[in-house]
Amino acid sequence: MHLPRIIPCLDVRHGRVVKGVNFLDLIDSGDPVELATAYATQGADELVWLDIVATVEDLELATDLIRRARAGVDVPLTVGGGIRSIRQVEALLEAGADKVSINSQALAQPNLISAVARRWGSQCMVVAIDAQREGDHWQVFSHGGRTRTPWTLKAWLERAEGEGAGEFLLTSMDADGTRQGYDLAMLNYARAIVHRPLIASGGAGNIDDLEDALRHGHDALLLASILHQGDTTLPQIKSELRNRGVSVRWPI
Amino acid sequence: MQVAIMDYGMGNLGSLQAMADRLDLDSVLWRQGALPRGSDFVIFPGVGSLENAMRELSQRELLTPLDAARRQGVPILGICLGMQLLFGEGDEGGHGLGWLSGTIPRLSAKRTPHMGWNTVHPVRPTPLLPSSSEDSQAAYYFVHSYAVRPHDQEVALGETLYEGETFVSVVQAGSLVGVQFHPELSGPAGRGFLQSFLTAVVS
Repeated sequence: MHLPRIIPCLDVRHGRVVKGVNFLDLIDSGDPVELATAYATQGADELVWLDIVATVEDLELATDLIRRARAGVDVPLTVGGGIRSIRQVEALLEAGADKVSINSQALAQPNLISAVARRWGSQCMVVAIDAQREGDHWQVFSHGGRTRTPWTLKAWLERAEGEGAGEFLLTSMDADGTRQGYDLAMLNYARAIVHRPLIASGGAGNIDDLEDALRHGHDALLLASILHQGDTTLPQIKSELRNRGVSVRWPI
Repeated sequence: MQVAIMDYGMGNLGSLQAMADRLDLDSVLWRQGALPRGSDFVIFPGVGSLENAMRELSQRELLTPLDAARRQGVPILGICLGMQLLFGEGDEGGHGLGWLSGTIPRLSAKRTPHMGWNTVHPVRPTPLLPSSSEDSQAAYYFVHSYAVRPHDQEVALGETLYEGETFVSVVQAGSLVGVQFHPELSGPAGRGFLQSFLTAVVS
């Protein structure tokens, strides 16, 4: 039986977790290595680690942390955030990442997608997209949602898949931060266009939102603020989904 | 105990080395030439295409020593593409090692790769998989667009269902074992599989 993926997202800046650091009884609550290991132990089906690797120093710090996290993380690990070059991808994969997630630089240079896919396989090339509704369609934004691009969501999904994207991480800018539920309209629309797995991101506020998205067939869900704000934990989420008749990976 | 992890440029080995560490195994990367001295078994990983993998194995002069290891009965665990390479003919041209007879067709699913967690149903008794009564929900992490179709059904130990299609996800022929999933990324279930492999096949 194919089971859904519940995917916590770690937000890391300069080697420290910047959100959701106070709720897991960690010895050092800002240590991303400890947090990643705790999530994996608690039943995360995969992890997304968002970091900024813009400078050489950032990249060295990130690879050191990822190498240490890898020792304790026995589920897939995706790393993204500011990746601009094949050399950075290589460093992150060598440190132990299983996949890389690329957003703005893929828009600026779509052949980066194909270059990564050719060298390491498309399964490790996650294209992250931030999109926002504009009238009758969705528009793609780059640089953390600050810059409007000429791409419609449909056109960019098709182009990125054609370049070799193995998976999409799709964030609804309209739903993100609202905790009012995933943007099912956008997710359903995107799923009808692509033939690759899609990770839904933005808007999860409670377990009803997760159940709703899963029942609509969205089988990979990114969790950020729902875990960061300490309302619930991964074991609570998984056991509650089970109680509601949704199959999840269990026992953990 | 020492594992030789084949490193022929087809995939990232960090998670495999981390898993070996967690199992208290010594791991060495096998990059060229004969099987590294002292190796008790081989992990044969791989991602990407069959053709590229065979070309890399050939260019690094690994094909002959790998075959020699197999003939000596050194246990070999093929993972993902490494499992597919144990077989013969690929769908889009290209040949595997042909040690096991069978084909490697593309999955029929609309959405590929098959990515994520899925269960394995034993099709014959084997110490490598938990019996369904014991742990019916043991799930493993998959990521692949092709799957093997053995000619000899006797080698199939476990099957997995994805989008209405059942494919063979675990095979064994003596000391040769192949898994379509990634035990190194499959949490405690993956660790359990590797421990069973060590006990049943390597020891």
